[in-house]
Amino acid sequence: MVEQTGERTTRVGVRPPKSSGNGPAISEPKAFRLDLFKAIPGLKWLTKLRSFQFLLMMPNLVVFYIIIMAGFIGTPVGNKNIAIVFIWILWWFVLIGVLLPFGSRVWCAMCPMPFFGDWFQRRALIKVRTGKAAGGLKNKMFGQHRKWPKALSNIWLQNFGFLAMCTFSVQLVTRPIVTAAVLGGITVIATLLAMVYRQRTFCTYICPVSGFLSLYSMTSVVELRSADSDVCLKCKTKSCRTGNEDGWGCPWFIYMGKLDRNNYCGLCMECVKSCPNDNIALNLRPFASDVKIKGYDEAWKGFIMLALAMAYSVILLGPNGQVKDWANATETGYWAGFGIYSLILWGSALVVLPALFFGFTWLARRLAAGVVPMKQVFLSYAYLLVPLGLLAWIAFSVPLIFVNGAYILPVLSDPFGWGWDLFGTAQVAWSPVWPEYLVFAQIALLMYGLYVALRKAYAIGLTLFGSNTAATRGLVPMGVFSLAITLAFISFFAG
Amino acid sequence: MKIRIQEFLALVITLSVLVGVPITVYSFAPWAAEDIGPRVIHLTGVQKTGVWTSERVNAFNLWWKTFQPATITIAEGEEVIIRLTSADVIHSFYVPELYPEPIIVEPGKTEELKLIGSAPGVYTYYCTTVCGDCHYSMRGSIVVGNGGGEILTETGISTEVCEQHKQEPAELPFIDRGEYLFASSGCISCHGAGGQGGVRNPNYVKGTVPELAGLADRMWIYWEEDADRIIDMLKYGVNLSAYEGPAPIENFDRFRAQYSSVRAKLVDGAPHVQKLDAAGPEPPLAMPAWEHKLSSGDMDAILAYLISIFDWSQYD
Repeated sequence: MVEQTGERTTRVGVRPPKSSGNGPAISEPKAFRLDLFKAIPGLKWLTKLRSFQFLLMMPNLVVFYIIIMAGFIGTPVGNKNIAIVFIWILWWFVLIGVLLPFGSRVWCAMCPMPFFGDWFQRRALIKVRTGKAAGGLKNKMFGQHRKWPKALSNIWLQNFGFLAMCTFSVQLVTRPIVTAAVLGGITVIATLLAMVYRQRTFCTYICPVSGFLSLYSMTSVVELRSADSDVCLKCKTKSCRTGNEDGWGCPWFIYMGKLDRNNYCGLCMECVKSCPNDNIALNLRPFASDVKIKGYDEAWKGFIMLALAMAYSVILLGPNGQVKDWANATETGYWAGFGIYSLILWGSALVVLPALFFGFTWLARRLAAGVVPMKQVFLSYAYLLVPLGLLAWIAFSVPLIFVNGAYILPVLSDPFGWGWDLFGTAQVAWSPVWPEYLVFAQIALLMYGLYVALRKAYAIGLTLFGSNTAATRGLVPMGVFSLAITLAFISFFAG
Repeated sequence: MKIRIQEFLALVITLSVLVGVPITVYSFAPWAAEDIGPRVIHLTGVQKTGVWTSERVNAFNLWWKTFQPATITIAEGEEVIIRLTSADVIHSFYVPELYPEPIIVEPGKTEELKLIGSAPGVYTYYCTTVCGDCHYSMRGSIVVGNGGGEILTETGISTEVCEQHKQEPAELPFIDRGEYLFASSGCISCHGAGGQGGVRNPNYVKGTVPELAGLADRMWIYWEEDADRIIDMLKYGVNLSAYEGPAPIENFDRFRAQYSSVRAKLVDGAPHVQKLDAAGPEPPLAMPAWEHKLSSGDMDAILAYLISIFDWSQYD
């Protein structure tokens, strides 16, 4: 069975009948879904407000504005500057540990960086303009509204951009000016591209944050979907995609009738407003419900995120002085060491980890005596990188908030490090919360990631190879891989 | 509420934020505050060039700007507040002749001290917390009144701006390497250029930091050829403290005792400096321990350099 969503087509992720190998699919019991629009009174009304996204974005715009200012004119001392403390302690933890698993890409709905680009394209902050624009839109749009080149319609740019940015992570997380320059730079690029290309082209294909949000949103317990896909099939207007007088056409180029993954849905809720059939549901669902990796770009995002989590665990948490000095070349001057560090980071993210993973998937296919193409096996099992990576990142981020979170209150009162005391919290002393127990929480998170990965590995094996025996055989090497990754992180955190 | 009104309100809010936030921030910035009472002098400690500067330091200009050390002028009898912050690491601010104790300044915290220009003169302030490679040059002057009619100078102090991580020249000859280390490690800032000494150390019993240009003499080396021999042995890594072979120079036993004593001082430092006035402030300059900063070879290179600069003509 061929699944088709958005821009891509793939054959993975559908369970075949248990009795007949790779034969035609049978329908499986409907998985748990709870429409939060129905369960929570007022939620749909709220998302249908024309001002919904503006109300989400504006507070963040104010905070980001202050953060960027502080990054330039505030104190250079990282832990006393809101740019470092709010972005790399508070925002990062909330994003990876709360918003992503529990709210999918809701950050994209409130992210202030595309604010000016949206404003330019729409010439409106709240209202909707009707008219015609390229791409079949029924909204009047400003700017050149060009189509993004097809060759770049993937997340490779995000992969390389994010890896390049993260190579300078030590500078990024310690120097306010670097953080401010990156945030400001992203805002400027997003705005400029919005003047030339359609809607949220920047967010879909370029934003370095968007790439990992896309990948890890697959695990989220929330999804925005059509309530009844038959209604979408019969819908003649496709207003979710094209827009109408009630809502803008999907800025992420999605037609809700074919949306089956969270990856590229920014939860802006325009489709909730524009759907003439009131056919959009915000579902609560089990963790890690989307399991389709649809291309090498997405698989490599998984490798990159895993390699970065490992690298950060070594250079930011552990006692590895030499590597820290290499990564911190702007301060230590060890540029040759920085070259070695960069080479190891890029090599492991782009070559070594993928090669290892390929080896394990090849073995899985071989043991299961599968006949499906190797590419399909590789991409299907690449999903394991998602729960493993997300939980590793959350585990990595736990000490950030529990140990360094104590910097948040002082910075709230004195965001620029100028000696202000706006809320009387400027002198709150740094005191880590339960530092001696954090490692247990980290191990528990990693073990949960392993559990999800193993379950999914078995299910993927069943889908690929069609029998319990073959799936179990395929599980052996993939389980070893997942276990090795988990043990590596445990050794970083507890070793 | 009608969409048109919402749109208008959103526009007003957006423009208010874009304009209002920077105006609000700037109007409450420290440099915009009007101080009532004594004149306030803002000083920021900067590690990378080892200065207490009165220039405004922020997250942006710290990257590229070379900050100059502040020279503070106070009128005779004037009371001033020195407001101290650090841009990076822990520094301290110490003016032994005007304030009895060093003020420790942690990054992100503001400390204050009140100074009164009671007697005309030029007073040196120091950082007494080792804060980086440029720590030893982190000092400057407070001029009270007309400076006492005479501007005291820190004889022999290098006036070059300290540059951290200055790449060590490759393949330097042994003695030249010693000279390089003498300057780059900061020895020069206390012992003076060419080890000539003369750097004031307030309330130190001898007044100034010992000169080192005469080290060869104090180590019982009386002939240039003997000096060359010792330098050669140092160059080839001979452990002179434990050397058991035939005496390479006259008075070798005495030399060895002195050499061991000097090496011990280099390794362990000499934190206690004898005061001139026992009840007075602690002298700000004391020999630091170099054990973890310089290798044994580095120390010998510095000693070789100091032995080499002895002026043998005074024996003629």
